[in-house]
Amino acid sequence: MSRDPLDRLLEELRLREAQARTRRHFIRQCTTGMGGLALSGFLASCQLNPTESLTAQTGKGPSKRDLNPLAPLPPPFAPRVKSVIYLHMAGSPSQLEMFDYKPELAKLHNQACPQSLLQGKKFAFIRGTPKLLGPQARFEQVGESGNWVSDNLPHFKKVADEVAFLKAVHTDQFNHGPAQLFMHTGTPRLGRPSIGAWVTYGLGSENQNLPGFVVLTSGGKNPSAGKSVWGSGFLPSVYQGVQCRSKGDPVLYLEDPKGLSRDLKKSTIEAINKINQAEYAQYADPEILARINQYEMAYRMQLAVPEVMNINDEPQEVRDLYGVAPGQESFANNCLLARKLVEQGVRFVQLFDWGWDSHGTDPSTAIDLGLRNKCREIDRPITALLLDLKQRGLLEQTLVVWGGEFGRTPMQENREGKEMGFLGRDHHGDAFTMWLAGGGIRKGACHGATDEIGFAGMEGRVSVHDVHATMLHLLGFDHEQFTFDFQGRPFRLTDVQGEVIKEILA
Amino acid sequence: MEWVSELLGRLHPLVIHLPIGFLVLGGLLWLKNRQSSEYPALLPTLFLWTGLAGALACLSGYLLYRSGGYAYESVETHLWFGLVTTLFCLLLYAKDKASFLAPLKKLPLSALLGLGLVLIAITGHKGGTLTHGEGYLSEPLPRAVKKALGLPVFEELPIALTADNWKDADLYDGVVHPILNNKCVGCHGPTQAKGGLRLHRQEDILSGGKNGPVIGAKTPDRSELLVRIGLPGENEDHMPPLEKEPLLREEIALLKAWVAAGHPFEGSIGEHGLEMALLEPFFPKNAADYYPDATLAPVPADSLKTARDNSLHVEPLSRDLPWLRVSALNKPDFSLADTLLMEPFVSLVVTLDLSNTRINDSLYHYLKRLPNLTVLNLAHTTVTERGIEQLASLGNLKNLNLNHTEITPALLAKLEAFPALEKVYVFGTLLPEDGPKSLKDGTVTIEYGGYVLPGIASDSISY
Repeated sequence: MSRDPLDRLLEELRLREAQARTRRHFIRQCTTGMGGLALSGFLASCQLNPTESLTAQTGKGPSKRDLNPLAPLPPPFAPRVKSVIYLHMAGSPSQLEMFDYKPELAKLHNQACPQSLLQGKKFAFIRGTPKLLGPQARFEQVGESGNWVSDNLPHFKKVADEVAFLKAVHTDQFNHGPAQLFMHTGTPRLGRPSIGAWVTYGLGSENQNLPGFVVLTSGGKNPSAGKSVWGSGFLPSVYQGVQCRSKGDPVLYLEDPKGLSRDLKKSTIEAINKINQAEYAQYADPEILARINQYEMAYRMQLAVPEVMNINDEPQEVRDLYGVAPGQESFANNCLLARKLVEQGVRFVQLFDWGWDSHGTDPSTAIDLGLRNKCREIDRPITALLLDLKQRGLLEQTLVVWGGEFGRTPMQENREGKEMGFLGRDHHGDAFTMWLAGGGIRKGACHGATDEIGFAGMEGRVSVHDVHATMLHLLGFDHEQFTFDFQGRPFRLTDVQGEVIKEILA
Repeated sequence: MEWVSELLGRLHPLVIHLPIGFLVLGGLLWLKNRQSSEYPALLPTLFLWTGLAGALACLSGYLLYRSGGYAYESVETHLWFGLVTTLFCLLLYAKDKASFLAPLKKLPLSALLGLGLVLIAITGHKGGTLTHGEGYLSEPLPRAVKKALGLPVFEELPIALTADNWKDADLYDGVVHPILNNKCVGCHGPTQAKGGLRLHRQEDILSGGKNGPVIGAKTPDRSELLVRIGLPGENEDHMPPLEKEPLLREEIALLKAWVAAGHPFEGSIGEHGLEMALLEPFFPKNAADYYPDATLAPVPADSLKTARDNSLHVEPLSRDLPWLRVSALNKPDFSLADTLLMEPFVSLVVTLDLSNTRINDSLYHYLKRLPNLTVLNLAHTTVTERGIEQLASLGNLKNLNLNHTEITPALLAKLEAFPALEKVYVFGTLLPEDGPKSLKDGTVTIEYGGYVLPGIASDSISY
């Protein structure tokens, strides 16, 4: 059937018109109807607390904060620390081979786990009745505090008196992705800002040439939960973590292409920003400001980042202290970088080290093989980091947090109900160990205790929300007051829970 | 037939509203007809009804008193006022019928009605006090009103422990009593004794509540007081009730320790051997304590503008304090001339970071003009100890970072005169690492740094 060419032409015109009509056109043409609807929501979100300096003062135009979203802001209360270094052992290290000494578990080694413990519990891989697995490390009480540290961490024993242990942290998630999200965003589901984004949003950043929230990963893999664990959720995207690589160029495409001078680059960015400013004047979308800021920051970062991320300029004794491996991706490099970044006024440095998921499926995840190697990899760098921060006077203004997303079972993993070739432990959220060190932390403290076999917390149980509340407290926030209005209600990092763990505060 | 009298007794709280309603209705009728000065015909009938209903209330009240286990002393006033009110209303009715009551007629009706209302109000209030407890009505009044009325006011007792005095503080009077007072005595004290329990005095604590003693000798696990506190919040026996302020973990731990120590009412914390960790949470703890007491007003934000425009980082320490943090992090070319930028707010600077800048010893002369300076960072600069003695006039300088500067061992003698100094960093300087670790009897710690982690055999093992 042949159609009239004119008809086809007209049809194409209509199609083109419809395609060209974007949501922006639609909203612009609906200024009275849609505009009114939008305005009511907009005004509602502009109900401002006069003491709240985070948001715009009026509904009109961008606030100072919008124009310079990373400008430093004072916290509500006098802070103990101004930066955070969060060391996350992705995959979750076994507390039973590192800090939680359970001699009773050794006696029960290879005995069947009592049914009463298993009832109503969910495990990722354990099926049927597993056997108990005694600690696969020797422990010793160290320092003046007499806290237990295993032989897997020989160097760390020297700084054990600097940290405060939480022996009975619990989470309700038993798979990596949700548990990591919970640990970093306060909820196991996607969409909330990470703690680093919250902190950067609340405090800004001192160094104008570096991002306020930097993420460094090692172990060959990003965390299971993906980049959402350092995402900005509903906060403006300028507060999300900036991932820097510890091998090769720290930030990709930071170098100018050949033949492009810095002046030309500058005028290019100025021109782009001018267009963006005009766009902002028309649509007042704060994301445009975030984009303008990112262009400018990227331009400044081009000089500042290679400098701060260069560990080769560090003196040899410092490199030896950390045991860095220049040119490779390593946790040691990242620890040294974390110190350098904090020294340069970066607000939140987030380290992820992959490889702690000790299921015992192969030698690299065996409790008595791979786990020991992983402990080796972090033992010197973490010890060095604490000592280096201390000698530079940074430890008293920095909070260092160490932990995984959950702990591991006192039972040996029996994947699919079968005995496995290597010793492994399954995911376990009922009780695991974390530690904190730095400003405002009671040195050598040990809060909480697990039962004889390390299955559940008996006293001093603290939740992930409690840890978050404590971190915010040390930064000068009341976690219950630190909120962001989104979709018609105020959100906070600790949702409706969390209590500051006063027992570990100095 | 016992149950009939018991049932009637329990109807007392219902029946009593009849006489109250009738008498109030009488008062309202009188008010309505006052202008016309007509004597409302309904009034005598109302008085009769009030009297009869009152008699019924008295009867049921007596039955309740008989079966409800009330002590005579507690119901005495209520009982007699009830009887008097009933009789008075019957008299009001009878004054028009009986001639021997004629003298009553001479009194104005308003006065008689008023007296009747006062009587029934007192009776009602006394009855309410019986069921709801003393002070139920006045409890929501503002403190000032309560004080003006001479009513007992709940006083929160502070726990005044510090790191220095905790051992000598009284265990019961200093800590246990304030905790019980602040969290329990509202319902278990002089004004109310829910569950028959009062916790404001030694003898009351020991005598326990309706179900017996609440504290066992040295057995916190079997002491009702702690068992109830330790129940999960959703348990209906949990104390304090969910809507009240809960006990904090450290408060519970302390009560436990007190019971474990045999709940002594005398003696100091140290004598009873409680550990410092238990008391530490009660010590005053505030990051702001590190800085001087804030008596100065904060400066207006625009006076910080010049400094900020010149890349000097100036921020308030926090929103509740006037103090400022100043840093030259973004201004590596900071030199002596730039100190002028701080001129508008010199008295407010508590933290000053001039590390990695181009300052030298002539800076000290300027720094002594920052009276509240608490933390000073001069690391990675060319300063020496020459002239540093001028900083001894800074009464709150606690933290001094001289890492990677050109100081010499002569520094230490000069630091002796610094009044508030707590920590000095001399890492990466000419000072020998085997020098004194502290100064002034240990009040000043010197951080030499230079840590090394010698390799150990296991470093090279790979499993």
